[in-house]
Order: sequence, then C-alpha cells, then structure tokens
Amino acid sequence: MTKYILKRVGGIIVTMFLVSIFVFMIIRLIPGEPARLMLGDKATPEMIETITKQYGLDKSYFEQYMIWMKGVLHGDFGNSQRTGMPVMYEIGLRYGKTVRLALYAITWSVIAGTIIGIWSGTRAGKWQDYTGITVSVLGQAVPDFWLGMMAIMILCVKLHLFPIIPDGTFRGMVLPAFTLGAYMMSTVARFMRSSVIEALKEDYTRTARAKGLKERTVIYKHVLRNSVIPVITIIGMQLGVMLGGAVLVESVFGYSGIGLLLLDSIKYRDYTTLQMLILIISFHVVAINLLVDLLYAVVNPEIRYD
Amino acid sequence: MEDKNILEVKNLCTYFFTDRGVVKAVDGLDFDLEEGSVLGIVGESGSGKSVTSLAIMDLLRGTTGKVVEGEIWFQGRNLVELSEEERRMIRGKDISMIFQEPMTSLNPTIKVGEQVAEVIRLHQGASKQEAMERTIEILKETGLPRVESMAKEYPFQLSGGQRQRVMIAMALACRPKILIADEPTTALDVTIQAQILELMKELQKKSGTSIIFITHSLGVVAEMCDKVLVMYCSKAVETGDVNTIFLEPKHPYTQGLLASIPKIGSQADRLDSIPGNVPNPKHMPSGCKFAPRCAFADERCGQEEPPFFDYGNGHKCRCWLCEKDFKG
Repeated sequence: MTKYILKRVGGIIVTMFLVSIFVFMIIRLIPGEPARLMLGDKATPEMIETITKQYGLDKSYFEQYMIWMKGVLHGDFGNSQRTGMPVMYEIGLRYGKTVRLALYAITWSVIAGTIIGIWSGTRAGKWQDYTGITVSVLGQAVPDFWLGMMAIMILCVKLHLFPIIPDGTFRGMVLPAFTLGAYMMSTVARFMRSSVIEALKEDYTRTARAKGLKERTVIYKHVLRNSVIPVITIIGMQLGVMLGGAVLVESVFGYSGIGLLLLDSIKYRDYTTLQMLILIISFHVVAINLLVDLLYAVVNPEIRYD
Repeated sequence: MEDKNILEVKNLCTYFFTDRGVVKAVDGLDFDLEEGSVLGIVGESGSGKSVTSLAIMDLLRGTTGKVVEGEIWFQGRNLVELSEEERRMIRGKDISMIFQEPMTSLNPTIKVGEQVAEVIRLHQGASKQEAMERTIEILKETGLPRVESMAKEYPFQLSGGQRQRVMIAMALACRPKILIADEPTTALDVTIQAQILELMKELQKKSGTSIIFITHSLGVVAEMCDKVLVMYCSKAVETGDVNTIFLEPKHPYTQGLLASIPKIGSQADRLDSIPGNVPNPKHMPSGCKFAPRCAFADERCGQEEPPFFDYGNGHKCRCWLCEKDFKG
C-alpha cells in the first residue's frame, strides 16, 4: 500500500511538471500584450517597455519559464501583473471561497444523486424510476449558466428567497452550490441507478434474499456495497469537470472565488496569476484522482490486497 | 406414511409472463418430501427444476415468474397463501438453499464470517459475539481449514470448493428442516464434487435435515438420494425410490437418461443419447411432451397427455406404455 502511494505521488510530480510546461506555453499563445492591456490605450512605448522589463517579459520563453519554476519551487509565485500584489495573496484571498462552494456542491449532489439512483434502481420501470430518470437527464442537459440565471431570476429577483449576490452567509451559498452540483447529481444518479439494477440481478443478492434478510438489509448492505464501487470512479472523474463548472458558476453569481479570478486574469493577460491558477487547479484534479483511487481500495476488498 | 411428509407440493404451476407470451416453467407438479430423506429432482436444463426450488423459497420476486396455482404445504401451512413477511421468516431458517454458482453466490464485498453470522443473528437473535462463535463452529463442521482467519477473509480469497463449503455452512447455520441444493456441485472440479457430496451426506446424517437435491447427474442421484423425481418439460414424468428408478425405469425418458450414462468397461463406440432437443416452451407438443423424441410414441401420444400410472410404493409413471401393465 505504501509502495503504491509512493508510486502515485511520483506520478503526480511528473504530471505537474508536464502540466507546468504546457500551461506556460499555452498562455503565451493567447494574443495580446500584457503590458499594453495593463497600462491602457494612452501608454507610451517607454512605459510599455519599462513594464515589460519589470516582469521579465522581454526574456526568452525558456528563461521566463526557469525564473517562474525557480520561484514556484521556492514558494514565491511572483506578483500579479494586474494588481501588483503577490499572486499567493490574490489566490489565498479567494481559494477558501471556492473550496467552500465546491464542498457544498459535492456534498449535496453526491447525497442526492445516490438517493435518487437507489430510488430509481430499486424501482426500475415504475413511475418513481421515470421521475428519477427525468430529473437526472434534465440535470445533465441544462447548462450551468442557464440554470444559474434562471435561479437568480425566479428565486432571487421575483421571490426574494435568496440574496442575489452571495454574501457569505449559508443562504447566499445555496443557489451557487445548487447550480454547480446539478450536473454531478445527475451523473451520480444515473450511474448509481444502473449499478443498483446490475447488482440486484447478481447471484449474491439472491443469496441474501434466500437467507431471509429484510429487503432493506438486502439493498442497503448487500447491494449498495457493490454498487457504489463504479460510482466512486465516476465521482472522481466528474470532480475535474466540476472545477471547470466553478468558473462559470462564479461568474454568473459574481462569486469572488478563484474561478472569477481566473476569468479576470485571462482578460488582462495576467500571466503570473493565470499560470499559477491553472497549475493549482491541475494539481487539485490530480490529487483528487489519487484520493478517489485510495477510496476505491477501501470499498473494494479485491484491490486492497493485490 | 402421509403425516411423515415435511413438504407436500400439490399441482404447482409457475409461469413466467414475458413480453412474448406466457412460459409455463412448472405446470402441475406434485411431489412429497419425506422427513429426513433426500429427494432428487432430475431433468435436463429448462425442465423446471430450478424454478420449482425458487417457487418453494419465494425467490421469484424480481423476475417475471409467478406461482399461479397450487399449494406448498410445510408444517401445516400452505406457503403460497402466506404473506411476504411470513415467508421471509421461513427462508434461511426452516428452509434454506444452496446455489449452483459458488463463485458468484457470495457477496464479494463482505467478509465470509459475517455472511454466515448474519443469518444466525437474524433468525436466532444471537448477539454479535455469539453469532461469530457459532459461525466458527459451523465453518469447522464443513471441514474448512484455519477457520478463524478465513472468517475474516473475503470470498475472492477462497477457492470454489471452499466457497461452496461456506455456502453450506450458511444454509445449515440455523438447522433448517429442509435444505434445497440446486446443482451444488455442477460448477466444481470432480474431486471437489465428491468431497462436497460426502460433506452434505455426513451433515444430513448428523442433523436429519430433509434435502431436495436438484441435479442433472444421475450419478449424483445414486450417491445421494432416497427418492427420485424425473422432470421433463415442466412436469414430473416418473417418480419412485432410487432403486426402483434405476432398476426398473418405466418411462422411456428415464430409460434414455440411464442409458446415456457412460459405463466403465463397456466397449461402446458411441455414447447413447436421447435424440432431439427439449421442445421450445412456446411451442409445446399437445400430447405427451416427450412424444416427439420417443422411440415408442404412437399416434395417441401426440394427442393425449398420459396420466400418472401408480405402481404402488411411490412409483408412478406418466406414459401410455404403462397402461398395459394395468389392463392386466
């Protein structure tokens, strides 16, 4: 087990190195000069040159990359070209907010998705099943931003149930978290449903019934343990998608997390902030995948001992 | 003799209602299980053996199958009329079952010991610790090695034979009155088969449990059973003592089955087999179901279904050929 974890951590380091190169290059392919965007239309060529020099943008890409990496490895992420503040500070200000949003979204969507999936799967072909399928297809088909805008329009503007701009209270979190989790909820529900239907057909389910166990025990002990295994993989894969969704949801709700910071950084060609943000997000995706794989081993005994 | 029967099945009809029509998997089956005896149900695949056992266990839920007619008498109660809850209380406690596929019949995510202990807690109200102690005891009875550590392992860590022993332990955990074994050795290696059969015989002798042994192997029947019920196309065609059936089979199908057992020392170039296939349940022949494959069939066999002819002493046969024995 320890060997396995060490191997995976090594893999993460290699992945992060490749991601950093890729991110660095791709950002510099976006058209637009950072210094000009920073200074505005009235900037003189001298001013632009000064700024370009100050941020080392006149050096070769290789040198720029080396400077950046050296800083990152020493814990210095550089200063934002947009605000002049340290990138670490800018991200630190918003990181917690996005984590909070994502945690709320994951929590509700995984719980609701699991419940709907079990509900549908154990009543396959009945009206409850069709209701479940309808909800989950809707959740997957409706885009995040549209769902968010509709929620704001109806629930905030018309009915005044929630604050329009998230104000840091729990009530303010409800709609952004709802919107962000909708897709995940649907995915979990659909996979859970088919997984439950599969497990119900298995021989071990028949054995459990033959023991005289209550149907409840059959489902929540014997069926569920087996049907969560594939769903966990799906959740892990969807978490990356969810981080992307956070950018959209944060901009729809004006929620100042790292998603919104990412958007602003793109607008102003804030290379230092942008490359660091993407690097951090990639790191989360990779780390979450490792966590999910470890969790997978916890629920699936066959993997644990191999 | 009548009151010694622990289970009486009368005119059992189990149909499957599929999109393409009704399939009569079991159609008017009668049999008795004498207390303490072993009844073998023999027949080809699709003859309705397994469905019969599922009907007795009330495990047809989740399939399209349903008991549409008939009675299943057990301890003075007709099981067919009981509620779902009442039948659940009987399952695993008074009547339990072993399945054909030991590789998939145990839950892969639950420790072996817990899977056995669960039944004991459920039906005997034992505490967690008592149940585990009983589990270890029962697992030892089935001849498993290093039981204490094995109880903490998962099914994938056990071999097929070991898993089937766990299944047997699970089925016998509550000392059931009846054990239904649905081809318990079919999926196992021949040497393991013999061991499992030996174990079942031994445990049966010790506990006096009555057994319904479902198999397609007459060799297993000869080894295990007191009485035999031969099924063909959802009906019983012949029943009797194991000796009678083996020595004086009356039904051409039973004779065919016996002839198709290869004999050691015989010089036959070919194995005897019954020509043809089991008819499609959707296109059942109208008279005797076996007539299309029967060497002795005449016109009447294709039109009229023969009744049971009773030779006495439990030997009955459903064939027109038997009629002459009774006309004198």
